[in-house]
Amino acid sequence: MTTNVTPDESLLARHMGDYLADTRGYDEFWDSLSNSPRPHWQNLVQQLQKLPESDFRARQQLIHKQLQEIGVTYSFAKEDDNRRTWELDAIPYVLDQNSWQHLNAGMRQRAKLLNAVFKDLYGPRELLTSGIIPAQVILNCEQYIRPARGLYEHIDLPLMFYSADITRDPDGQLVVIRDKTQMPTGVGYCLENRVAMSRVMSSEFSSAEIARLSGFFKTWHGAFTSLVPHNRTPNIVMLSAGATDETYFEHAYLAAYLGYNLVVGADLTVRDSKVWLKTLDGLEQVDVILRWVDDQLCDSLELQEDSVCGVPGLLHAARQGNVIVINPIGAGILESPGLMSYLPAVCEYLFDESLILPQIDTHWCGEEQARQNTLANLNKMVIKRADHHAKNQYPASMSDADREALQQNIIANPGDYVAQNFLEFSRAPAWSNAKFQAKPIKIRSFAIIEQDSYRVLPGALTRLVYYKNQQEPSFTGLLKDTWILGESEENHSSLWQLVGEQAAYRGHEQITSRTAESLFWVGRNIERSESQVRLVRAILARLTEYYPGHEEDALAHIEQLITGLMSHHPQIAEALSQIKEKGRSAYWWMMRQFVFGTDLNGGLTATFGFFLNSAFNVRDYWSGDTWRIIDEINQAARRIKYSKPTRSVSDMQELLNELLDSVSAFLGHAAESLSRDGGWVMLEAGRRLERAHQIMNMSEILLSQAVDEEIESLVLDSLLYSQESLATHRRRYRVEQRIETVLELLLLNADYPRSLCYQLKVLQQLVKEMPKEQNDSRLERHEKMILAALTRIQLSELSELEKANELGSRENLRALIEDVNTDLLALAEAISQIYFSHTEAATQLLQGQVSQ
Amino acid sequence: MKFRIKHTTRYEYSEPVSLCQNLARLTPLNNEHQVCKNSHFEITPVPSYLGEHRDYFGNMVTRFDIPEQHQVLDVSVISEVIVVERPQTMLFSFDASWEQVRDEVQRGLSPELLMAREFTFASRFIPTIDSLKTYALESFTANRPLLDGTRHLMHRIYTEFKYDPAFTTLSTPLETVIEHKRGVCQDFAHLAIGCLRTIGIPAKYVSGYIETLPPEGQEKLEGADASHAWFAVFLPGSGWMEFDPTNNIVPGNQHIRLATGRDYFDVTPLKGVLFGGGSNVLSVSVDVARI
Repeated sequence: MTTNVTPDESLLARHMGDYLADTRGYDEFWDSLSNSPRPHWQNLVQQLQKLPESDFRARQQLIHKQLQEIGVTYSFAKEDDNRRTWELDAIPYVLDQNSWQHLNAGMRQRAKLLNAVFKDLYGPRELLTSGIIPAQVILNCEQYIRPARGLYEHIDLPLMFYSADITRDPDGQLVVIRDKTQMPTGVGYCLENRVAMSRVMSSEFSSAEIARLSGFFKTWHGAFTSLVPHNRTPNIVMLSAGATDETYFEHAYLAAYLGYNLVVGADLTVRDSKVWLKTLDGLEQVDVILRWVDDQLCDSLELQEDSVCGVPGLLHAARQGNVIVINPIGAGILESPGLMSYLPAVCEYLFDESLILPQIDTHWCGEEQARQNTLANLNKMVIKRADHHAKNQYPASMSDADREALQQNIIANPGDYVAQNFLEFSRAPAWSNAKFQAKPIKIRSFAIIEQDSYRVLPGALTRLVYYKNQQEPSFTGLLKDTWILGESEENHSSLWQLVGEQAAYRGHEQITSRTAESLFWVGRNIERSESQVRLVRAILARLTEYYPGHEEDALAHIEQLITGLMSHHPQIAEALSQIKEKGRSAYWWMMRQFVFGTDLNGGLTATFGFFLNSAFNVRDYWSGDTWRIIDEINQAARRIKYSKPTRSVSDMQELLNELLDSVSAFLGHAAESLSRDGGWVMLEAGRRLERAHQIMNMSEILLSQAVDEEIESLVLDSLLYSQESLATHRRRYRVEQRIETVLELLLLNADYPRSLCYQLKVLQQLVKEMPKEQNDSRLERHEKMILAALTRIQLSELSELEKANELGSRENLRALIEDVNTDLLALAEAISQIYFSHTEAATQLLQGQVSQ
Repeated sequence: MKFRIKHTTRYEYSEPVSLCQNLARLTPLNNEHQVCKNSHFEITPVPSYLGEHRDYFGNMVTRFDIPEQHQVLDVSVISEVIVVERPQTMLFSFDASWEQVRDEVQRGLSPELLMAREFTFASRFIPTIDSLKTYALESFTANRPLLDGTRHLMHRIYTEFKYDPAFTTLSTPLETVIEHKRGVCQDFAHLAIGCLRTIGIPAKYVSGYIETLPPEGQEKLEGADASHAWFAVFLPGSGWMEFDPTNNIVPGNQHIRLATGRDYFDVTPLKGVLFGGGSNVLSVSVDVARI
């Protein structure tokens, strides 16, 4: 609850000293002349003054939790990868109305300018023949995509998106520091930041007139749909490099928000010079591709050959007008720093205007004067490559030898370099390290095509930077929502309204083949995870009990259980067979390795890793609630991964129980809340197949060899326990477990949800729901296989199965399990062949050398 | 001179290929040297899609897909070309020094000069290497006429470099060719182009065929001809003048042009992306016949 507090307790009063300590750059917030916050910050200051610091901290925590839940701070791949995690500052960046108007006009002008440059460079090239831009700047630049020339002449505004990084110079003037033209990276974070902020800071929101973002996304959506003739629903996909891309979260978030299918290159294929999406229902033609893949990587046939994230043949499909790629392939040239140095002149030449928003002083060293100036003032410069994308160089922080080498390179090949005057970022208040501090910022502004012009997002992605050394900035991972004051009357439609509208656009949910495949593996792996945890618990229970008089048999039995557990992990099974001194201590060691071990390639954490990775690959498929549950599994698995293996048995049990709870929550949720679409069918099929295998695996290991009566009840007990069927068995049969009752319950019973027969019946139903290959009443390949398996079970006689030969081997049981296993393997193979995308790696074919 | 050319490329794969998508630059050019009367592809298996477009450098590109399973791909192109011998007078009438040409190209803004400018920069297979410039400057002494210097350069490559098909492959870097002074036509063309570019002269790569004549009294063997490559240098106002450093000649009526570009990469006769296939065996046969 917010209450009025005396100013000396307030956040600002306590921290103003810290804030004022930093004096680099223009201060966005504090006006040192009047010794007070600038007017456009006053409203926020008043709100913050009312908050005790504890309250503010609580809000910051809440934001953190929200981001974690939706997966922004997500990083459960490898620990050593430096996938960035993002945090959102509870203090927004505030932009006043005048600055916004200026920014708005400047962005629109610059978007139009770059669009005109793009059209010209890939068309008539008047800018080169008129000498406005030196030919070398473009023709010697890797970002100039020659095969794209001539593709855009018939389109007025091929550049659909534009974004720019902006800061204020020390005089407070907004300055463009970089153009981003290939994809609108960061716009998804803007959206997600706003959603999080408006929940946590709702009172501050309602008291200020803050411009809404929804109009921008409506325009976006309208622009995309209007690209396609009106008589049909456009098929728009978002092409991502996949879960390994550091901005994958953003792709998934935006795709879900806008209702586009999120795909990777392997989901698409080019046939007849058109682009097709591989779905469960077959190939569906794609009209528009919003790509999050660099120009060069879009097409391994015509562009960079070793790219695996594009679609071979894409450029030709675009050339034929059969697909629209956004932003158009080739737009990367507009990001070239060499080109940037000529933009002021180009603007004068084309529009007879000067740039509304000034840009950072940029000079191509191929010009004599620029070269001399650069060499004379090297320490005040930031040096960029003109011919290809490379890291910036900061001569002021270089060693003398490196600086000398750079100088020589500039003299030898001046046309390869661009120099920019070093520019100090402006600073704004941030809550960082539990302090209210001044931090350097840059903002990224976004524009989208709107009829014959552009519309600018009334907000921005504000990022905090820090200086690694005197000049070199780096990103801190802290983001801010950006508030533009005084514009809220424009429209009040909800950010989420669009989603509903979009859902109506799409007649049916397209499940891509890759999504289907991932969901199938989500199903298999979650089931495998569950059964492993249950079995581990059963083994731990056995290890803590002693069996006077039957100790040897009991140990043999425990070893059987461990073998069952390790059946997916041959390396561990191998290790087990090599242990000389068998016995409880060796088994304890094995179990600890299995649960906590990270060096063994395939313990419990690895199984969970497979599940989490398949789940993350289809991040856009999950609703917020489902994702939260998946994240709980992730958290529980991490707790185990980072525990000390020396922990006590009860601790171990506790950790396993937590894990099992989160798994059960997921399974329950999947059963209750997931929509019954083609994806769900695959997930469920994966689960049922896996469970059938698990039942058969444990039954074969534990039951195929008859044992003495004394030990038999122990074995049956373990089996029932691991299949979570002890209580059911007791209730149904009201007798001590016997081999025939257990076989009946776990294998043959058609109504018991944990029996093999039941899994097969469900599978049969699921297979029926999968899209048909043929349009008649004949059984499909996979239908035949499940029918075979189910029939075998249904025709089995209990009395035959329990029979053992003179050596104690239950041959009939073994044979049945082997046959059903074979059927199910064939079923899985058939499903894979029919429905999954076959993502074999493409190879390059290059004709050998010319031999004359 | 009229020729009928049959160029066959055959890939045999160890594993089935489920889909292949290809780009071919196998249709002869139409320019001041030659007229391509007709040209057609014969491909097995029959492609589901076949389309054509002109690339950035004006070459005809054939784009085709085979989405059916196959283990052998056969691509044959049959073309009829009339080659006209350009008057050699150009060799004598163009007497500008290499420095004059360099400066004119550097300053020029016309579309023609811009397109030539394109061929002064480093490219994929022809990087900027210091040793290229050293080698070039031996031929391009101060104020030497460009054509004279180029002929001198061609002659040096012909005499100082050994033709050795066993030595280089497609991926042999130019540095290695210079170091060991060995290579094939493609290497010699790259070398000459690299030399010219380091001194600011536009030079481009030409791919095509050369007619070979059998030793006297013998019958010509079918398929014995081969793809060939040479280079062209830019003469402002006069266009491109070709040189064949492998044979130390200025191409006359026995050279047939397929495509031009900055280097081999821009004019690769046939390339593609395929799924499956395992390893492959490539065989190429070219037949150039006078008709």
